[in-house]
Parts: sequence; structure tokens; C-alpha cells
Amino acid sequence: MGIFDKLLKKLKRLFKKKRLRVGIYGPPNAGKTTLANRISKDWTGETVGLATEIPHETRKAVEKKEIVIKVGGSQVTFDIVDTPGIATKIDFHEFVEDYGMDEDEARRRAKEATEGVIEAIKWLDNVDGVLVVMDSAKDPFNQVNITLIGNLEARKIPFIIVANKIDLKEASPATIKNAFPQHPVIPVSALSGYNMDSLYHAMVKYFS
Amino acid sequence: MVEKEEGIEVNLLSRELLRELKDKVGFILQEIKKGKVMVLEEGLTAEEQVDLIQRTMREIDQDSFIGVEAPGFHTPGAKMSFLAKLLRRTPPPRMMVIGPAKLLKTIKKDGRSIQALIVTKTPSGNLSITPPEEAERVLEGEEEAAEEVSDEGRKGEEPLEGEILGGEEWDEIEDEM
Repeated sequence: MGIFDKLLKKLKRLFKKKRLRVGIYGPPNAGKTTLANRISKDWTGETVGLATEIPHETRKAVEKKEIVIKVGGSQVTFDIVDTPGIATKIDFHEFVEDYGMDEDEARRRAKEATEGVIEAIKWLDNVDGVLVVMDSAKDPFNQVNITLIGNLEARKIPFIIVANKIDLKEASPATIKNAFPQHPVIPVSALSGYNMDSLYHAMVKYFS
Repeated sequence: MVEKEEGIEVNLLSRELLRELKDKVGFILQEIKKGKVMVLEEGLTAEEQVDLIQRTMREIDQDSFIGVEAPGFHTPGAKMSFLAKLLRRTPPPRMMVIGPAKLLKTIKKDGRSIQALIVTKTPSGNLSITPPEEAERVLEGEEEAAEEVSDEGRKGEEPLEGEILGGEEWDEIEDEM
């Protein structure tokens, strides 16, 4: 961390906000809603949205307010925004062929998904930090991850890469760390809750 | 009778041409919608990529255009030198391949190489791309400007003041540090 960054961080702390809005971003099916549910359930007992294996299940951003995270003597209040998955292409045939939807429903889902992507990107103007969720069992070099990280760097929005789904046998969080060595990477299983404490510590450390 | 040859047009766009486009993302999107695959000598910046995604989402028509495939490399901001950060210079984007998602498929990608496939035939038969009418609309004056530049080039011209540095120039600054 450079001297200017350190100074900026100190200034930010001096005038720090009482509540921080954190967006959960990533490609479809990375486990964003599962993570939002896990965070919310751990600290408020409530869930945020429905998580399924079908891509683009979340097609509108959902904000869960006032999640108070307490770790190591610190307490920070977060508003968590679960955003729709970002994609460069959306094909309704995928919903028909892979998930057995009827054509009308698949077309409607595809249309809503395109609107969801636009909405997710707009939210980038209104967040104080971002959790970039990646599937540890998949290639981290996909275009969505690269575009997202490039944008967060350019906008100077602090972010943590969440290497999710480490409960899967083929998961390789080390591949994600090797792909983005200059950024914090926290391996978790949002589904089982494994290593979530490390993520909460990181959120307090990097976002507040 | 001579049979008309069919194939997929692949265009290589130079850094100079790309920098002269007033609306680079708009131009690229229109070309993709016509079914062309493009290799950009200097790819899109992170901001331009997000702009491309947003505009692509608005243009998606499930019957003719399902989106774009745009594999490229990450240019980590953290590798910027102190001088570059001070001057607020961002590293220039790296080479990028970009095309319609129906035609261009990324097979394998890591930090150093990209393998992609240009689809000409699907298991169900020949692939056909029918560009929607909107794709025929030419962005005001840009296509002509692009053709002009690609024919004439910018031979012997000095880099414009305030231009983003190219790869080699960038390396020079890094070396100086």
C-alpha cells in the first residue's frame, strides 16, 4: 500500500460513515444470493432472497439494511445489496434445454436478466465496497470477473474477492489467488458457512 | 457459375483506428451485430467494457443477437509505477478478441493465452446470423471515418498530446522508475 493510499485510508476513517453499503457482485451462479443469505442469517436471522441452481434467479437487486457485524471488538453496520449476476450474453435456449422451462417463461427470464445486468452495473455508483463472488470450481479468468475487477480498480472502490463453493471437491481457491494476487481473497463456503468468520474480519478491515 | 464464398469476417483493428473512433463501443457493437469478429490491437478499458455490457444488454434480441463474447487480458492497476499513478496514467488495455456470442466461443483462457473457436456449424446444421435492421444503421460518419483511416493509416504522424501511452512507451516509464 502506497503512502497516498495510507493517508487516504486514515482520512476516510476520520470521516467514516456510520453505515456502509456493500454490493455483492459476480457472474451468474457464483453463489451471490447464498452468500447474502448467509451473512444476513448469521447477523439478523433473516434471509435475503431465493437461491437456486438456475442462472439469473436474482433479476432485481435486493438490499438488506442494517446488518451489524461485530468482530474482534469492532462493530460495523452494513447495508448489503445482492445484485443480479453480470453476464455478456443471455440465451433463453439455455433455460429451456438445461432447466426444462417452457419457451415463454425462458424468454421472460432472459429479458428480465438483461435488465438485471444493467441494474447491477448502475448500483456500482452507490456502494462503498464490493464482495466479488467467484466460483472456486470454475475458471477465474472469465470476462465478467476481469471487467468487474478492472472497474473496481478504476473507480477505487475497495473490494474483497470471495472464493466461494470451497465445499466442492474440484474447488481451487488458490487458482483465484494466483489470478488476482494483488487483492484480498477469502475462501469460503457460503452454503455451509465454512470460514465466514475470516470474511467478516476482512469486511471490517477493508471496508470500514 | 461461380459459387459465392461464405464465411465469417474477421477484422483486425489497429490502435490508431480505435483511438480515432468517437464512439468506439458503439462502433464495435454495431459490427458485432452484423456477425463480424474483431481483433482489437488495443482492447477496451474496464469502463468501456462495462459500457459494452450495458449497451449489449439493451440490444439483446433473443432471436437474432444473444450478446457478445470478448475474451481479453486483465491489466492490473496495482502494477502501475509511482510516476504513472501520480500522473494518473492508466496502463493501456491489452489485445482483445470480440464477437457475437453465437459465433465466438472461448475455449480456454488463462492470464497469458486465450483459445477461442469461431463457430461455423452447429450440431443442428449451418449457423446463420441474421443481422436485425438496426444493425444496418451506421453510426453517424464513423464507419466512413473508420474506412478512411484503415486505408490511409496515420503514417509518420507523431503521437497526439495527451494520448494514452502504448505498451513500449509504458515500459519505458516503468524502466525510468
